[in-house]
Amino acid sequence: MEVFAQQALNAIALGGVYALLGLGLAMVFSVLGMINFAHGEIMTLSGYALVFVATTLGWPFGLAVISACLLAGAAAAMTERIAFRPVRGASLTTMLLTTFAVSSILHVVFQNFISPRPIAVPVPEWLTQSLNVGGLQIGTLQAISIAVSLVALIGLVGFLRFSTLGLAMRSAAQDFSVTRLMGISADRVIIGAFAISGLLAGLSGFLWVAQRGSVDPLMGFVPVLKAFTAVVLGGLGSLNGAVLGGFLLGILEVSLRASLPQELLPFRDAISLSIVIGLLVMRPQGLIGRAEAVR
Amino acid sequence: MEAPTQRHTQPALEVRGLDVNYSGIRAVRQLDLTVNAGEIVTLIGPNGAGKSSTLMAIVGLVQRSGQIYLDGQDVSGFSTEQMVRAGLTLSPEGRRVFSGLTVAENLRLGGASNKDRAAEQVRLLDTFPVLKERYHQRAGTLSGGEQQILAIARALMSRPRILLLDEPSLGLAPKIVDTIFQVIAELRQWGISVLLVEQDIERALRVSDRGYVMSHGEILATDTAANMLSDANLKDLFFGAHQ
Repeated sequence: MEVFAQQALNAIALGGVYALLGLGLAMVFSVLGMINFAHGEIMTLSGYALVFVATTLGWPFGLAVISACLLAGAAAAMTERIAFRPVRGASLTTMLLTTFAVSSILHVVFQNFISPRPIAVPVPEWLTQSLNVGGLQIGTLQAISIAVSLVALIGLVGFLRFSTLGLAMRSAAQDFSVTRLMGISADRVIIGAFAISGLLAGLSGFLWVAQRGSVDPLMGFVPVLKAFTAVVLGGLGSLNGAVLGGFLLGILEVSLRASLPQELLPFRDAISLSIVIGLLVMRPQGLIGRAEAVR
Repeated sequence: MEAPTQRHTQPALEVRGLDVNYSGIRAVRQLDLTVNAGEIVTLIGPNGAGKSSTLMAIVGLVQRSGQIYLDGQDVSGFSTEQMVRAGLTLSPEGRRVFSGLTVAENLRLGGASNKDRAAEQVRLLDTFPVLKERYHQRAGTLSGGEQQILAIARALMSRPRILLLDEPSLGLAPKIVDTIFQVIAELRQWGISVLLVEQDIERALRVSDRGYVMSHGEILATDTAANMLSDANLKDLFFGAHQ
């Protein structure tokens, strides 16, 4: 029972990070119909910002995390203004190529202007300790992961349900043209989606780098792949689907880690992706996605 | 249903030389039309004549060239959202309510550009009691007729001076169609000018002041609705299929 509870906590913690990552991708996809593969680099940027603010400026860690998230939100909004707005309305291929171009440019910037090697993140000691709750070992970072994911998801649900811009983002996910007929600026909806996506990349970036203890130029590749998997699994174009997909992917990975024999552990990602593909064969539109995603 | 009797002379919407191209194909060519203040005007024509393209172009949802004036102000360069804020909106073909959002959320979005949206909503919920009953229900769970009423109410939430209506009775039961046309006729009393595209041409002309006949992207003729209803040629051309 204890083992099960422990693994459930691990799954929720990991799933929460994947849900935040997936939601970041889904926010942009829902309004532009485009997967932003530069999302991982925004996450990496937040990692560097965290190191810079905490180490060079010497700000308290909590403040450094908030600054890094805000910077990620602003950076994502800037990429929309500089790179994506000029190609808005172009073919999907052009937009996808633009996301790869932004991703590559950021890689080069990180490698040449920061460092090609990993940089240690000054994770405070209290974050690496663990708590014993009723016989369960809960890492502080794991507890923070769960809390941050839940607070972010609840906050986002509130924003999407009760603010006009949030409602517009939900309606734009369904029908972008008709959303414009509501007198709502398309630019505002799109830049808002990018900014929120960036904030989510910043939050998940903090949880990711705090876990691995370092940040490097290529760090964003694996998370964006996980996010993409979560979004496709949940259903492209569905924000709820991205959250569900994230948690399911987390549960799947933790279950495989706990149940696979030692010699099969290196194949964990391949097995989990195979299961995801199997699910998609049965339900090509994803678990709660629409049969045809609408821009 | 109120019969169109008033004479209207003040142009609320003027379109001059409107062109719409889809990948080199001209869907609308040098189109001129006018909707006067308080008027209901119907645009009739066969499928593919360019009627819906005209409405979408006026509201800025498709690329266009030509001049558009709202109450004499040149709004040709306005985006869709600017058009809505300037007082012109479209209730699109196929209802296109936000099915995942509740009726309340659909109405709230409709009034996003209206500072007085609370009062507007009270008025609309009184006019369309079915929306009050379904207020917290997801729009996707409403019947086709209820969705059409919601689509019109959502468009009215912005308190437009000109409403473009694209095929409001499409696919609806006859009883619901009666209600929809009653609503359209009432819009005149609200001081809203209407440009209507409708497959039920005879019915549309009965609530209209004037009509335009359109084919292959061009306006072929215009006349009062009464004259068009009694025109034997038009009857042969368009009404037969709907009787």
